[in-house]
Amino acid sequence: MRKLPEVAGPYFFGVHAGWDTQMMINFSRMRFLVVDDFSEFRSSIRGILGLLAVQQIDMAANGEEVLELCRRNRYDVILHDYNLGKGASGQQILERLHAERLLSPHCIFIMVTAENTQAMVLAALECEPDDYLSKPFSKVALQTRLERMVRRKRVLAPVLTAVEAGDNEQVIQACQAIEAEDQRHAVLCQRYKADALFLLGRYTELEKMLEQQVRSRPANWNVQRLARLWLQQGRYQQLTPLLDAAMRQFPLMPELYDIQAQMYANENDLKSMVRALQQAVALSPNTLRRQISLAQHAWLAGEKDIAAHAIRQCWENGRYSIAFDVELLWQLSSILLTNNRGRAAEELQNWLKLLERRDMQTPLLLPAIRLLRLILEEQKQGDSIQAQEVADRICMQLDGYTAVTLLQLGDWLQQLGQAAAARCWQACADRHEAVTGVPEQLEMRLGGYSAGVAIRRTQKMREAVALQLNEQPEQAAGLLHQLLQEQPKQIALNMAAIQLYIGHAAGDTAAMTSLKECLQRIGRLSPLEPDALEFSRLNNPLEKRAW
Amino acid sequence: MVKQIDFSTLMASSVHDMKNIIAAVSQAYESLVAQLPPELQQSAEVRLIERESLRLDGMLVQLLGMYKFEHGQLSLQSEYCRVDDLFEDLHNRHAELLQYRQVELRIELDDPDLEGFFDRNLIVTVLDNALGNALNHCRSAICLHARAGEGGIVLSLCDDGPGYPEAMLGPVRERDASGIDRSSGSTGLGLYFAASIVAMHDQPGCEAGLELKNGGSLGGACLQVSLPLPSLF
Repeated sequence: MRKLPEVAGPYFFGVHAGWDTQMMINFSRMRFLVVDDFSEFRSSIRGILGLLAVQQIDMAANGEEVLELCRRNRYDVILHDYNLGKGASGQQILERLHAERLLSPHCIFIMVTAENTQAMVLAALECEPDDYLSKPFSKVALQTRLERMVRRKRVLAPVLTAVEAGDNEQVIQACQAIEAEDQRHAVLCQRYKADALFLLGRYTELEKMLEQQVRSRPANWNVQRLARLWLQQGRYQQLTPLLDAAMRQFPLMPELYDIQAQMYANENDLKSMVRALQQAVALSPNTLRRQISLAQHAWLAGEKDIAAHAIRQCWENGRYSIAFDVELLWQLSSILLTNNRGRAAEELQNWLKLLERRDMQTPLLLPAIRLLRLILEEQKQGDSIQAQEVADRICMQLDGYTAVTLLQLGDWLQQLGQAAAARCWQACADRHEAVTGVPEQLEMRLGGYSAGVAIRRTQKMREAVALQLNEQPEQAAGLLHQLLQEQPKQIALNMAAIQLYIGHAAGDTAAMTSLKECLQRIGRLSPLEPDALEFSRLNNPLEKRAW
Repeated sequence: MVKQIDFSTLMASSVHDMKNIIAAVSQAYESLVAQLPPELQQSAEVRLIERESLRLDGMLVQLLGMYKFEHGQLSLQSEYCRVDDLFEDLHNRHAELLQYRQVELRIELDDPDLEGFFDRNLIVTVLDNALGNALNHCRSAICLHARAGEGGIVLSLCDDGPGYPEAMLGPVRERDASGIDRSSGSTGLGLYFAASIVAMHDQPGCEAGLELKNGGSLGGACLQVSLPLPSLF
């Protein structure tokens, strides 16, 4: 029995039959990992955990140590400080643990925060830890939270095991069993059930469930999922009032602005898209994927200062994130080079020096950096410069660059009189024309290219996605097949087709073959692409979990 | 040139440090108490240290909270919270004191699965402070009660003490609840902070409320907080 309710006099719970029926949690067999950059705080937590009879406690001071320990051990509880000083933040490490599949869904991950600034709290929440705790905390506070989380994970264990095994049918069954027996935890099952329904392609059922949830108990997870579903289904008439109401009700939910941005993108309204992304970034600046998206689209919209600022933020707050790539710094250098005077020139020199550092060099970016140096030389000397070799090297790896980089590479190559410029732009057309803002940029550069045709093709692709999410997979497949005939290397098209095949790939060899063909046609993807993580996961299906 | 820092920022920064000092001292103290023989663990001095450090911590949390509130840095992180969890947190924080003072804490929920939508940390601070007050003024019992209200939940904390002075009774919004009462020596900080926090929980078209009453289920002071639930349509 739990020891706490020993207060004089009887407890009166009304109809509540709560705490005294619950077993006291035994922490002595659980394995803990405590992460903090201050040794004093680590020993203080060790002291508290000792009072709770915890016996197995590992300590880490930085992200590298955490990853190393999580590769070797399976932890029951991780108490992770958000701010680890100079290196990666708690948010970035949690992202990495998820990406490398080092975190079992059974593990309790508690983010510990020292100061509750909005940017930090939202960042901590966006990566979805199980709980977060403000520093400093007492033994009682930690014990109460831990006991609650352990009880919760124990009840949800069958669901979490099914999630870990990727068995979505089983997830739904396990959720139903809990709903039937345990009112207290039933509400926690809903989001697991929603995700399983989505992965099983049971979109009608999912929509019904989400709509009912949003009406009766609107929360972060259900509003976002319903909004994303309606977005992909192309139901803007329902989506717009939902987003308006949700933004009024939940003013601190940056994801709503992400969804709004995507809605504007689907309507090919680049300026509004950039504005929505700016609003999301203002709320939660530490989430890197959003900053990257803002940088790319602001540049495409001709807002170079906004793009440069977003990239500087990426470097400041996100350089240790799994989503970061030095290609961003090349883009920033390229932006600065277009206005190579005064402070911009000074800043440019600093970034170029950084990019040329041995530890920053990548084979992909070396010729691109060399190209910027050639432009600088040309500006200095005023003579024409021999750039053939650099141009050839760039053309050998066009698949690795993002749309914005390809457009900029083409511009510089053209300035040096290189025919390779058109090859960069053509690669951009072949692979990236579904990126909002790209067709208009290409029309200005590529003779005979029509932005209107490209935009109509992208609209058709969205129609195909909508068909799939309205449970008409055959029609979706037909349309995607037709579009892929025209644009076989288009990244977004191939990713849409992959999403269609993935549900059937398990038992269907034809679907599996089609899926592999899509991956091969994409070939290579810049880490800055929104689909990069999913793409590398699909490309390495044999990558085992740590346990 | 010496950089000018306003007094409140200086104070907030010092309060921040003080909070950390108290936390460090409390943690060391908890480890120490665990090693004491059982009879000493129950001594009056141990309880006094616990009670006063809890109070000190509570006051610093309020001061820091007020600074953030005044500077627009206190952002609301509302989420669905079960009321039994909220009450359990409160009980656990004060369990040893309640036991020592022989005060009965009754917990009544009209519905065991009642949940509200609020910033857990901030509402705990409000109720923590109210519970601390009730502990000072009650005779032998305190009651935490929760029920579903119109479009939300209503939490109340009542005691069997003498009740609030007549002048304090009624609904409190943050603008009314400030100023030092020289006759009682109260700074009014607790109430001002509580009213500010509760007002942050207003929903579009539905206000949150804080009200002071006398009477209640135990006949003494009764603090009532109503928190609306979100609604999109």
